[in-house]
Formats: sequence, structure tokens, C-alpha cells
Amino acid sequence: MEKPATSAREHLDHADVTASPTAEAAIAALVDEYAGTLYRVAYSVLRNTADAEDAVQETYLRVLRHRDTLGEIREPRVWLVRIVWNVVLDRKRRSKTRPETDDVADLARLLPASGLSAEERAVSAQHHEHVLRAVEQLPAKEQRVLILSAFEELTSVEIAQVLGTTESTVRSRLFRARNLLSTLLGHSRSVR
Amino acid sequence: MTRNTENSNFANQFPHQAPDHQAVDLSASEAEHTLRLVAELPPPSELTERVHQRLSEARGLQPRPRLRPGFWSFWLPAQRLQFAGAALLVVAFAGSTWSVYHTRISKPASGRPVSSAPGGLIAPQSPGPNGGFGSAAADRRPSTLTPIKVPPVTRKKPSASHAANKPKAALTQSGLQTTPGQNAGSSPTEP
Repeated sequence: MEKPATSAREHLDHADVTASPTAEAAIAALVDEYAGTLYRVAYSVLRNTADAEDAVQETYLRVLRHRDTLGEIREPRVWLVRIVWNVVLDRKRRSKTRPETDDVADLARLLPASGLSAEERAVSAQHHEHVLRAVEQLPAKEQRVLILSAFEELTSVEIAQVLGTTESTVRSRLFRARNLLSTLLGHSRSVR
Repeated sequence: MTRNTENSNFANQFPHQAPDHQAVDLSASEAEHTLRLVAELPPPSELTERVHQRLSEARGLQPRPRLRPGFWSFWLPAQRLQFAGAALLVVAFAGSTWSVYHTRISKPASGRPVSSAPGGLIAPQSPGPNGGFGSAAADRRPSTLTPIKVPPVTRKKPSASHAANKPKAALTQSGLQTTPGQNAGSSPTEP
């Protein structure tokens, strides 16, 4: 993503960020800098483009509502990811009745498979689908840590901040998630 | 990236807890590769523009300080109509006042001639001694004003026996001694 001329951090470090024009400029800089990251975080959970975009917009609307406290934010990226994470989980909870089997198959077909033949693409999509179904079978806490760990922008400390827990808890959950995932994938291979 | 290195080497940090850490590492890295592909899917184009537009709409929808609705705005929403209504009320009040004043002067009740000032101005008549009201020769006198004649009380000189019974009567009134007619049998003075 192209970096804006004035970063959001510089806007937030401004002396009087609570003043209306300054706060709006800071929010605009936050949109330019982090909207893509927030969208990808939202999409990794919701797996729907419209829902993910709605979640991003709702996140920035919440920021707009709390623009008086923008000056107190030290880590805007982690703060925004935490907001979008809560928005996404809230939406996921509300739309729990919707079947997700089609979402997984569609998502597996959407994943990039450049340089592969048509047959290899089909095999690759099937493999991704198996992995995503296995991820869905994980317990919620382990699943969340695993999804967030796939983002290169987030360290384990930042994942802990997003989830509101400690780094050691994140690491132990990630370890359990990997073990469970290996068991599930091995089981699916043996079944096939 | 440090995060990827940390993730890929995570199982190696706890080899005693993993039963087959090579198999775990392989499966986990496959899964993480898929999840990373999901996480790297590009956002739609013009996402930031749409977010900016939504934010500007939300700013426009924020409530503005509204003027307090006045008396007129309840039934005359347009400002010109309010002005016309106010002017109409003023004209009606002035006209009615003038018409009452004019009618009273041109039609005197007492039949006396209207006195006119030399400049053409009509001066109002001065009222009569009782403010223009009369009693029509009716004179009502309330009966309480007629004195009631009471015959004078004649005072008698007290007799000797009355003077002797006077302290006894005083005791009877105070309740210390019963009257002879009421409790004659228990009287100690009776033989």
C-alpha cells in the first residue's frame, strides 16, 4: 500500500488533536494508512467482501465517534485492528445461523494459484478447502490466534494486545492450534 | 519477517510437547500458508474512497444545534405567513379599538348633545355625579337599620330568704352539693 505523505502517527502526535479539523485530518490519515489492513483482517474472519467492507466502515465510524480520545492513542494500528476485530466477532456472532460451507469452497477457489495448470489449480483449491475446514473445527480461542498470526504485520505481542491477553497465552494457544490442526489434517488425509 | 520466522519455528521451541514435531510442523506450515494467502488477498479498489465518503456522510448527519420552535412555527411554518399573521392581528386589534371608540362617541346614551371642540375634535362627555348611574328613585332600607325596642328590665330588691339561699345556690352550681329534690333520701340535713 502506498504510504500517505503525512502518516497517521504524525497526525495523532499533533498538539491539539481534539480540535475538529485536526481530528478529521488524523482520521483521514488513519483511513489512508490502515483501511487495507483492517479489510484483510475482517475478510479473514467474515470471508465476504461486502461484510468485510462494512466492518471496516463501522470501525472508522467508531473512531469518528471517539475522535476526542485520539490524542491518547499510542499504537493506532493495534488499536484499529482491535476495534475491527471486535466488530467482526460481533457480526460473526449475529450471523451465526448462516451456513459457511459454501464460503469455504468459494474462498478456496479465490486464493491465488499463479503458474499452475488447471488440474493443479483444482488440487490446490481442494487442499485449501481442507485446511480452511480444519481451521474452522478448531476451538474459538486457538482459531483466532491462528488467524491473526497469519498477518505479517502483527507480532505475538500485538496479537496479545488485540485479543486482550498476554503474550505467553498467545504462544501457548498457537502451539495448541498447530498440534490440533496437524491432527485434523492427518485424520482427513487418512480418511481420504 | 520476524513474525513468520517465529511462527515457523514455533513447534521447534517446544519439542518435548509435540509428539511428532516434524509432522506437526509440516501440517501447520501448510495451514499457515493457506491462512497467509487468505490474509494477503487484496482489498477492493476504492475502498479508502468509500470509507472517506461514508465518514463525510456521517459527519453531515451529526445533529446541528436547532432553534427552539416558537409559537408561530406550530401553525404557520413559513416565515412570511408568520409575519402576515402578526400584521393581521395588529390591524384587527387597532380596527376594533377604533370602532368601539367611534361608536360610543357618535351614539350617546343619555341623549345629550355631543360637545365638539373647535378644531373638529370630538371630546368625550364627562360622566354624571354617580359615574353615569342612577337609582331610579328606589330607596331600599334594610330592616336591620330599624331599631328593635326592648322593654327595660325591672330590678327587684332581693328578699331576706333569697339572700340566705344565695351561698347554697352557689354551691349547687359548682356541683359540690346536690339539690334537695334530686337526692332527698341521702341528704344529711334531712331528719
